[in-house]
Amino acid sequence: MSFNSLPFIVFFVVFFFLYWFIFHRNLKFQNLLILAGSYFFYCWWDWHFLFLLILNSSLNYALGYYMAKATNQRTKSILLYIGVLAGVGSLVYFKYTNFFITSFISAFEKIHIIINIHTINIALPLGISFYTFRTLSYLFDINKEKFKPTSDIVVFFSFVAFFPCLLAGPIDKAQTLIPQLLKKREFNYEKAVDAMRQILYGLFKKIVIADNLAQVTNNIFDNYHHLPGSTLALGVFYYSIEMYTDFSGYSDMAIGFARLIGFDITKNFNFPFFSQSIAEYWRKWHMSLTKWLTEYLFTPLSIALRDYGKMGLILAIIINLTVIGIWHGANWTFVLFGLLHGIYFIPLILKGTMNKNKKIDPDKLLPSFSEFVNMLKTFILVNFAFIFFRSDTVSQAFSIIRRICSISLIQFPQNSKPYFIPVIIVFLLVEWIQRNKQHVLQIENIKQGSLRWGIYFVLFVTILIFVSAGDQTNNGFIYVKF
Amino acid sequence: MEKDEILKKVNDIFIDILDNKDIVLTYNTTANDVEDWDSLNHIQLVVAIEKQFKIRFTSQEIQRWNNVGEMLNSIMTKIT
Amino acid sequence: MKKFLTKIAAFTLLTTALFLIPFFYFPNLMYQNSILAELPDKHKMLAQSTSPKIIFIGGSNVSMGLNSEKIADTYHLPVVNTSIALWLGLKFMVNDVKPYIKKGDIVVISGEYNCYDESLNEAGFEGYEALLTVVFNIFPPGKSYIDNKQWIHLAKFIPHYVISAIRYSLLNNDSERLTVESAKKEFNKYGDLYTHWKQPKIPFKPEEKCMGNEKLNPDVIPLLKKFNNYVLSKGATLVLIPPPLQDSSYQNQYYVINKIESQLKNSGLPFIAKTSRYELNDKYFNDLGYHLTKAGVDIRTDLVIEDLSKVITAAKTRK
Repeated sequence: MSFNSLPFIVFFVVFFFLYWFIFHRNLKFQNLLILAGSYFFYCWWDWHFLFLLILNSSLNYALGYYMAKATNQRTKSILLYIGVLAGVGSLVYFKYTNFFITSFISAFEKIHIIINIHTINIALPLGISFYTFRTLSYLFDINKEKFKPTSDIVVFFSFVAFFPCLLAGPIDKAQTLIPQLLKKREFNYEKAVDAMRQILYGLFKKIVIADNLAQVTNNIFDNYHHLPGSTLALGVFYYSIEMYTDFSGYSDMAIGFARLIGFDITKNFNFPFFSQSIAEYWRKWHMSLTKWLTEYLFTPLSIALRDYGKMGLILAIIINLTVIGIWHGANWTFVLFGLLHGIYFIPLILKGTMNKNKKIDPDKLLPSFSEFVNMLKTFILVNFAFIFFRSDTVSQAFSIIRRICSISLIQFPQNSKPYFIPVIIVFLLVEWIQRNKQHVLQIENIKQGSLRWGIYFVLFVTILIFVSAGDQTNNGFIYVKF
Repeated sequence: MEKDEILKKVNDIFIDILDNKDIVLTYNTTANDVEDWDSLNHIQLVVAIEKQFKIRFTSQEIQRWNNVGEMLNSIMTKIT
Repeated sequence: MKKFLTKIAAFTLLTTALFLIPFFYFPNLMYQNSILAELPDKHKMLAQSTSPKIIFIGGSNVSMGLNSEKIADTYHLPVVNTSIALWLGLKFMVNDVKPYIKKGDIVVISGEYNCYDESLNEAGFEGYEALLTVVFNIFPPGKSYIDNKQWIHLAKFIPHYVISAIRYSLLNNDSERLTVESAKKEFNKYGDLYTHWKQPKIPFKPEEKCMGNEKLNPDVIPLLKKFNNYVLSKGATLVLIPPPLQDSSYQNQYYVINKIESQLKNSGLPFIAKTSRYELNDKYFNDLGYHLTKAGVDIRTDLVIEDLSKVITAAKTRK
């Protein structure tokens, strides 16, 4: 059940009441409920892979425990390698086996050797990319002695399966969530109200903006061969906004639901489209994943390559970002997406100007011209890379790029619902104004209660109107007219 | 070399690499406290420190530092 | 905590009231003045035709895709095409026809594949937003056919329903608006939506390729089984025939269609023809994968006549 579905709302309401009214009495019960609720939530999606989730949790619990008890570094390292192998191995198996097989086959086909392996029907366990990263970070931090393993099984298993984050993150480190799980949560009115605001805004972004844009972008990307470059360019722009509102909306909801049960978890987006450089962008987009890969992949890599100066750094960045690309899925388009972003860093690294852009003054109403130009430049780079991210194949991506760079760019866009553009502009303006807040709807500073409630009302009503709108489109209203 | 002396030298390295004259490090300073000290610049700082003191850290040592003080301790153990 | 819960409750109630009040007060003319307005006439046709008769149930693939006159002339039996559009959902369509089934009747269900799977969020089975107009404005007794699951399913359409009602009422251009009379004129005396046969072809996209993880709606077969028992208890016959589907959509959706076909075959229900038999060339389709041109209607009608021949002979000999 995704967050914007009736079953989830029912589930959460029931959970909320059980959590704060019945199981509130002691910590152990609170945590047991979280674990039970998380597993219930997971089973609702796909109970087949619950076993894998439990296995992963058990293995890492044991490994963490014995790593801390280990008397020498060698034992510690062996245990760590087992964990890494199991985690990365299972990820690679479930996500990338078919990708390797098909790439392998087509590579040989290009030199006219036909290989007769068939892709196997491997279903992808839900959330595996996310919970594997949680447990790996646990092991890495224990290894670095930055964190002591927990002996509380319920706490650890809950950390791995924590339902607000189970399906799409944020990817919390053990340090963030486990200490909170070890303390009894108390209900806090302000936190709960602000959480509701965040959920409301997340829902709005997802249902009203992302889902509507998706209908247009799907149409554009599916029919790219007969659309002019201008339409395609607009489609790419829409897609960037769609990706942002979809993912950040979901993250807002995850954070909000976690806060409603008393947990403060990692922020995942910090208004990335207002970044002035690609380095800043990656510090603000899918922050939990970037932080994870920076700490556990990029840093060790850059340290290992430090003797090669700027070239070493460039290589480390390219590897890091290519991995970010591949993490998203098993397709060469994702590889190219990551590679491209890695290449975007090269001028920054060579010029040594990675952080030269001073942060924009939070109190300023408008950016300066050069700040705006930097944001636009970064935004265009990001959009370009999204062409690869969205395309189903590499050739489709190049085809789209060719069409955009052709004369058809000056043709008037077709079928592109241009009325979205003013909506998006207003949306971005609102985001800009609220860019220094934890989330856009953190409006407790508005003193008039009626104004605040008016805003909630309008947003909620709009969401309700659009909730079922998506169901109608397949069936159209063509017949109404005749 | 005394710890304070090392701190001064490291402070100069930070000012140079991060191109910011206003940086003042203490033993408790962390990356969060210094603007522009992030993962991309971190390795350049490390390399500059290694060059300056003619020492070599292991990867584990570098990743274990939680603040400037611990970094300085590492440097001290290497140069004695 | 009390403060928090009270605020949430107040907010939710206020918003619900905001939609429920216009919902009951404002008729949705957009649906009311559409082809759905024909529903009471279909009931009349069912009530007034003599048994044994042939009754067709389904979505727009049946309403637009059948030449009932030819079937009636071939078998010398009255034919009633009860279908209008998928909007009603298969569940309602079936329940709606039940009271009119008499001894010797032959009931033919030809539902779109969307009725059987979970695409469109089960609306092909449970009904769409338009069903609200049907049971509140066009045919109020139809409320008794809606079960709890359907009410919950339909509730989410209420906000959008209210907005579309308001928006349509504000449309000033009367020539744009359909009236109930003009909507009903689209159907012939058998219930065929025959004016659609003259529609020009519009380019449209075929159904998307299946992902291979589509699930079927588990409620459909039990309902059909119950209906089959009911039909038999009345001394009538039920058969299920595949809908016509354009070739490119059929190929893309083969994974799901195959699943549906196996499920129907294994259910023991009278599924009397292969789905591939009704896979027709793209050129016979008009503006959607299920909507036939006149040429397509003729081909499909002939296939149906062929498929029904054994059934009708058996029904006649039973008499």
